[in-house]
Amino acid sequence: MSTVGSKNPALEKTGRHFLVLLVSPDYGTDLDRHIEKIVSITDLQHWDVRQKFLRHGITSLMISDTEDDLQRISHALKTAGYQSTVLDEGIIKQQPLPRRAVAVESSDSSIAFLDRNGQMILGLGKNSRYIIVVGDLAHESISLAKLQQRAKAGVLADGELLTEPVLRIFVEREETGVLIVGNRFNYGSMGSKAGISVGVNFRHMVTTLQKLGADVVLEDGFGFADQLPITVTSAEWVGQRLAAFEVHARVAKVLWSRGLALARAPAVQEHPVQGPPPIEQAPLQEPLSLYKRSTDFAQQIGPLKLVLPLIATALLFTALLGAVPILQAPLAMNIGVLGLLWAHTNWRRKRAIEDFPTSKVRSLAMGKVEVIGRAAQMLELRAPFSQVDCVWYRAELQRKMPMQDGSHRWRRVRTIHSGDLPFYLEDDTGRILVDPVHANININTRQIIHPAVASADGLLAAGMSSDMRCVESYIAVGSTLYVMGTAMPMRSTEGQDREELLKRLRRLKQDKAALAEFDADGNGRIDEDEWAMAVAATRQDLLKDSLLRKQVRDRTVIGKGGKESLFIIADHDERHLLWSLTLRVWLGIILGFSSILVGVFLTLYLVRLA
Amino acid sequence: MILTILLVILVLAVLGGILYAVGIYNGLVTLQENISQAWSNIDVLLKQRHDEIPKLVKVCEGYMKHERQTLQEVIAARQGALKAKGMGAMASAEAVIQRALGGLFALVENYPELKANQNFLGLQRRVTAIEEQIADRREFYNASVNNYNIRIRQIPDIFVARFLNYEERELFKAAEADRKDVDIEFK
Repeated sequence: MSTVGSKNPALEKTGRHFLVLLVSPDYGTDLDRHIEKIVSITDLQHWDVRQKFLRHGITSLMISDTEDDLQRISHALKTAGYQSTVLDEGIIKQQPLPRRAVAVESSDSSIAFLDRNGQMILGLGKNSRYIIVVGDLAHESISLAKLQQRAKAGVLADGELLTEPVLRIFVEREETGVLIVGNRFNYGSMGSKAGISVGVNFRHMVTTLQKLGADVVLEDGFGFADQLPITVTSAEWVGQRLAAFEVHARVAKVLWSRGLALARAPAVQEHPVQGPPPIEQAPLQEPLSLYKRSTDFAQQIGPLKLVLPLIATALLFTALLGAVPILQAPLAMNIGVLGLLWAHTNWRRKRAIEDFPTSKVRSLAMGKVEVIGRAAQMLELRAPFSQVDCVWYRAELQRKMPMQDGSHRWRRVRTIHSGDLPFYLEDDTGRILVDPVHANININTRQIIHPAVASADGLLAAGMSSDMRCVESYIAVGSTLYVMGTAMPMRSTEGQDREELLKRLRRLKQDKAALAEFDADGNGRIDEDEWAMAVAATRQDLLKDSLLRKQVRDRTVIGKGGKESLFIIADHDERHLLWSLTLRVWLGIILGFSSILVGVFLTLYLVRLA
Repeated sequence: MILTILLVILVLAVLGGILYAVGIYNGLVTLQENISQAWSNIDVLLKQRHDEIPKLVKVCEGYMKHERQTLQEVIAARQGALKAKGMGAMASAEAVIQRALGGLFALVENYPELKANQNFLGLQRRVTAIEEQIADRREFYNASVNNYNIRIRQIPDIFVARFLNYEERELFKAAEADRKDVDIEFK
């Protein structure tokens, strides 16, 4: 497998890797050319990239660096076996201690990002791996005036800020996976929310990194190559002004080739390596009707979360304004309408489930389907805290917060998520792949784990202390699985040659001469990174052989259909699901009508007062 | 004031009722569409089976020279299925095909050379797989029809269904006589 960028022997020794990526803005071009290019520079498979594009309705590549596109890319990477995370503003907001770095200090051994008080926010030291992703200039050029104001006010300490290209830089410590960072955050929010973002002189930054012996790879879509003191490794691409997808794919390639990606065929390891799980992805935003948006919103946040703040506001105003219910009347009306909308959404969902019969996997027709069976893994996955073999998990880390009255409550610190890895549903007649992207996942299985009870490595990896706990939900392998979604054809070889891959890897393990070819440092033993390279090379060989034997077959997958709005995955049977939906319907109706009546009463009361 | 409140409640109730009726109507339309879709899914498989039968008969002809009548029965059953109109007639015609094919496969036991023919084996596997799928999808279709038939007889859906003259749908079910096992005479 070839590597990208210049190789620095010193760097290889220390194990430090810096990757600077300049995300270019969107430039449209035809799909096929892009697919070919992506395939040529990554380990992604042609039909995999193509079907992902087509399934997401992308027929020509006018992709911009928006979050949706990043989600798609991320998903494609995951499907191809990469660990991939899209970080969005919601995650940024969750970062504790928001501080803005206004200066960068460098020494022979590190780069430090400092806040206004000279305190270090983040240090890039030796023996750590970082990925630095640099956003595009588009937004900065728009807000140049703002930047100038900030510079005048002394908020930005970097003196060269306005004379050199100013880029937004996001720095994230990520030791095990591909990190894709969206560039839609504005300068101010990045600074105030992330705590690890900085407006910095780009040349200064790159020069410093180079002084440290960092391996800097730059994708330059803005023609700054001449101004920057580094090797631009993709002059051809720059000339063609390629879209962001390729840039991200290239990142994946670089990381993969350096053993930074997690795709290390865990099935062949006796004890699968469980890296820190990716940060939870934000759900994809689809174009929705106003009505659907409102009902979905109401459903997402739930009636109580929606109503309690409003009631609290109403009570507050009552206390402030006396007994005159000026605001409460419309407030109650709104609550009522939202309650009814919520009830209606659940009612529609309930009817859709009730009215649609269950299919058998063997005779599944394309289109809307409901299937019940057992969960089975396609890729090896283990819940990080309970260590249960599963096909999906979500874990919430909570910290105990003492209250004034001596009691305590649990506050969410971080949510981690297995992402959208596909898995199988099996019934007595066969099995089918489920692609959980955009699914409404309804899980009953829940486990609360305290550090004192569990000693899983994952607890340490997540930085869990004694005052924390983890609430973990998962779909365990073999558990009942209910899926209502859209069955559609899929052309892919995902998982098809798994057995063959395992066989070849076992053979490779026994063949010392062949194994020696992957011993990059020549120390006579194969370390984790070298093994990852060996697995990747074996996988490539297998792929070529499969193609030669034309073993690629059409397959079916259940996912989110273009027209069907329902895509439900639940770990319990249909009866339980219907029962919970019925409960929501009645809750919504009672809440809705009672609130409307209160609103009417208050309105009439006001009219009478007037 | 009480009168006004009652009036508002009444208006809300009427509005709610109208919306509810619209919801019921949409639900019934969805159920009808489900039935149409379920039928289309069966139809695809029936056509596939009809396409396989001539190939199967052609392969068998070379070996089963003394079973011309059985082969003709299979062809006739296929012709009958192609001409059948109406759910009951179609179900019966398909049951006849199934019986005829069952008879044919049973007779193959007498022809070891045919049993060893790869073309025949491939076709037999294909036809058997299609039959299994038809059975599953028939079950699905009947469940869809059943849901619809129950719904249009339940309150409050019955009022909307009656107003729109919605009638019960027929299940995909063959007559008892057509489902009797075929008598095989081994020579």
